[in-house]
Amino acid sequence: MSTTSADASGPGVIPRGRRPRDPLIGGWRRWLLAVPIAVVTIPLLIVPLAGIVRAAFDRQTFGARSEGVWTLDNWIRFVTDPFFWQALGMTLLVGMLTAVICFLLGFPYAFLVSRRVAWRELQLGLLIAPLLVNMVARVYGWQVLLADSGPLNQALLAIGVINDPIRMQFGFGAIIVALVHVLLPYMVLAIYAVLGTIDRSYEDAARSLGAPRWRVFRDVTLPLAVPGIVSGFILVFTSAAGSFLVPSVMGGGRFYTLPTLIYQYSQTLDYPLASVIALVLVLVTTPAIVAIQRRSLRTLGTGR
Amino acid sequence: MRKKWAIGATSLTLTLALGISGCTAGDPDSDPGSIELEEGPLTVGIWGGVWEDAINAVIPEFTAETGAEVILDISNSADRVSLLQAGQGSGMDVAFLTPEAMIQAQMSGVLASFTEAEVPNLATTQPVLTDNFADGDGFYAAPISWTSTGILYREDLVPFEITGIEDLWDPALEGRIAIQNMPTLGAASFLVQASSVFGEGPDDIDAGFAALAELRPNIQQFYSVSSDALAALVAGDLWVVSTIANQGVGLADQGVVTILPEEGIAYSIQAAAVTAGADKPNLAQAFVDYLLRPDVQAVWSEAGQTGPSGVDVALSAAAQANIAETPDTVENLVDLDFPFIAENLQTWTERWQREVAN
Repeated sequence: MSTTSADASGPGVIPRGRRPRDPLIGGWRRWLLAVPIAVVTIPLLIVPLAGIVRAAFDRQTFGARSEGVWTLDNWIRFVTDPFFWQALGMTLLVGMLTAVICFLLGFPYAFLVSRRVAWRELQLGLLIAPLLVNMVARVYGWQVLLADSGPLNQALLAIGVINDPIRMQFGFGAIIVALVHVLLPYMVLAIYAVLGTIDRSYEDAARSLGAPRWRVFRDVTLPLAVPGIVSGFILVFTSAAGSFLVPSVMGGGRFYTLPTLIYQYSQTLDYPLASVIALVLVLVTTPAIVAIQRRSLRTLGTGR
Repeated sequence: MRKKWAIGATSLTLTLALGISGCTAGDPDSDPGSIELEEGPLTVGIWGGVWEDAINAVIPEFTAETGAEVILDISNSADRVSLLQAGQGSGMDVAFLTPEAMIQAQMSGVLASFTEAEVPNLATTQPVLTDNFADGDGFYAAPISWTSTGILYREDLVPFEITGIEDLWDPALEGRIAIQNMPTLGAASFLVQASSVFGEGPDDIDAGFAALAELRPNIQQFYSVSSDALAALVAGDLWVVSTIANQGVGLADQGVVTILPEEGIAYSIQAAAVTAGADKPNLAQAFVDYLLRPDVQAVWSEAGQTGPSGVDVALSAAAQANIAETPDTVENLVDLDFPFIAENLQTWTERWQREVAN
């Protein structure tokens, strides 16, 4: 076993500050493995992103694509208009609420699937099956389901719970419901992937030392599941916050998040402002992801 | 000697004749009908849905006459303008755009003008449509067809007869109306009409926005795709939809009544332009001219369920029954200032977000 220590010396000791050499690939050759992804990422992500950054500091006038100037006008427009802050707030709220609900619904199911060997494939299949249906079709399905004349209202009317249909089709609630339905499988799969790898001997050891089941879950199982929870949370949060389809369809055109504003401003050919909004979305969600990830790593006690 | 002189003179004469004919070949001023057309394929940017159906109905004959294939590039107007503004390589020879987008494109310098000499069938179109695209002595676009904006409503659900825009403000329609969302010509036209009805005129946009703010309780949704609103109308979730009138004609058997507002009829034009960067400008002009032929206009109108731009287009009884656009309808069109709409669409969209839809 290798150790690093300023005081230790001898064979097998790696000097402080140097990483152990990879036994499979080392030196400059390991960078060759990054070439395929770089070939895809640089022209399809980095270059367009650079274009968006440039456009965000440009100005567009009617009848022209851009003036080719460098200006902070669009950033000032964004920062000084409460409407954009409201849209930003809604974007973050949609992301967080969707992720929290997906966690509350998804963790129990992931835990159940990871423990029960019988019918596991069926349970996972039922979870994944909706992913085979096009997302647009699923969202429009919710429109039909939540409509005044839809089956949900008709069922409630039929059993006498309500006397008039409840307006559920458009609004914040409809958006969250549709997003949770679309993104729940990703939360479950992320958590399940980690729960399934937990060494049961830790739980057995805790039980053998007299810990009750709930404490074993709280102090052993749950902390070990945190990486999966974090992965699922990040995946769901970023997908929900960046979703355009669901807010635009289920919002009835009265619900503004940053992605819907990006679309609207691009349709008026105001690409500079649309670029600012896009960059704000990236700038806001990225630190949140990093903060969540760091918090989870501290919980694990890795110290990195 | 005499024989050699005759041969030389004949040769010189033939050479001069060939040279003169070669110089005048392709000169539009010498014979407008003999412009050499480039070989295809011709790339046409157009919307999907019924417009794709309409153009697919008329392409085969054009291909048969010219030998040129036509390739369709399907997208919306804003995306098409953006692509043209991006510069060379857009690949489009002909671009279909709505009027406000066409104006934006024209100001960007991405369209090529043409004259009636180059597109003779322009002379057969309705001036009220064509004049929107005048550019000095020529035109930067040609109207191929047009659609009127109507009010579709469920006669069995709405407790009164709707005859015009103002009826939509009735409190009995709370939460039962859908109108088109910004930034579209449909929404802008509705705003202009509200300005006319509730303000001092179509330019009184502040009055229009104030009126739309009062209309908010009645609006269930601001639709981006009309089929969403129409499905809700048929299901009874919506009672009134402001949209293309022709879309309601086919829903009459499902209890939907279509009316054209008594205050005046807003409309849109499906216009075609030759792009400044067209690889085949002559073929593109020929295609635009072809689309304006009365017989082609009839096929286009029937397939696209839209009104023809030509003055003397004979539609079948079945085709005419399917559309709201008639020669009489043209007389009641609202005087829409498309440049005014185009210049203010961005500003109006921002106000719409904050004062109407939010």
